[in-house]
Amino acid sequence: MACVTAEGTLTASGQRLLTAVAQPATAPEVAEVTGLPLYQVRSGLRELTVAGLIAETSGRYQRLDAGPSRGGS
Amino acid sequence: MTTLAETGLVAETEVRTRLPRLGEPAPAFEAVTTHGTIRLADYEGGWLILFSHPADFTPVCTTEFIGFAKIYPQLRERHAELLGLSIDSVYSHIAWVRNIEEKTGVVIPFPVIADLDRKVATAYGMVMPGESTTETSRCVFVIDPHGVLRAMIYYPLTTGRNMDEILRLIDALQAADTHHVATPANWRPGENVIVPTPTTTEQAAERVAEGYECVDWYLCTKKA
Repeated sequence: MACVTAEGTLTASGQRLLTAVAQPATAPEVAEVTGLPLYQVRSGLRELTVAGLIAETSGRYQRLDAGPSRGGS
Repeated sequence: MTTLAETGLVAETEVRTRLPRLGEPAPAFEAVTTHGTIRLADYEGGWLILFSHPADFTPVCTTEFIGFAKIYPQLRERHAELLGLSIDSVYSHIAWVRNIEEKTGVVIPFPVIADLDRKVATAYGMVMPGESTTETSRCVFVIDPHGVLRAMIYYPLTTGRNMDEILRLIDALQAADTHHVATPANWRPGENVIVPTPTTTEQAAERVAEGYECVDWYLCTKKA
């Protein structure tokens, strides 16, 4: 989904996903809330996880408190 | 004189060019696309139509992309996604899909794999050296929610694909899975489906009395 730019800022879709995991949620739950296709959600959540913005536990994703700069969409 | 088979070169070539097979798990991949990095596993739980085209900024491919974009809403109603591929860079893909939108008004809503290293094209046997050694042919791979390859279509460089057939194929596969039936030639949703053929003489004798529309014991149909 390309949620994080080379400068480390979030794209609009990245921000959308980050907002959707303010509370722990599975990828299908995020897809339902955001209306995004499940493949995009899985790809995007993986990218946000690698960027250290969210964490996954037992299939549920949640936003981490301390993240890099946001915006730049 | 040593033969190629004895050196193992033939076997090695066969392995490298082996085409995927129906009913087997589709080859896994992770690829750079116009929508970021995508894995085959990201589509688990839904249907995927992975298709290749020869090259960006070419005429037949452009008409096909417009065609795929137009059936995309109907595919999503069927829980099916599209994923394109060619041996072009992601920058070329981005420029091309932007050009299509600018010139025709059609937005390309699905991702396109930039398969410059040919890893996905090779795994799926998309390059047909008899046609071109540098481009992928017009291939379509239908992968089910369990990651199993269910159908393949191969078209040559010269001939654009039929979008109605791709929709019909998805409908037919889903009808087969839902109702445990087969579908006859040129079947369309709403038309009769084929009841599984009896496998014993006893079942064959009983079949004609089961109330189906039968030509004979081995060809019986019913409403889906």
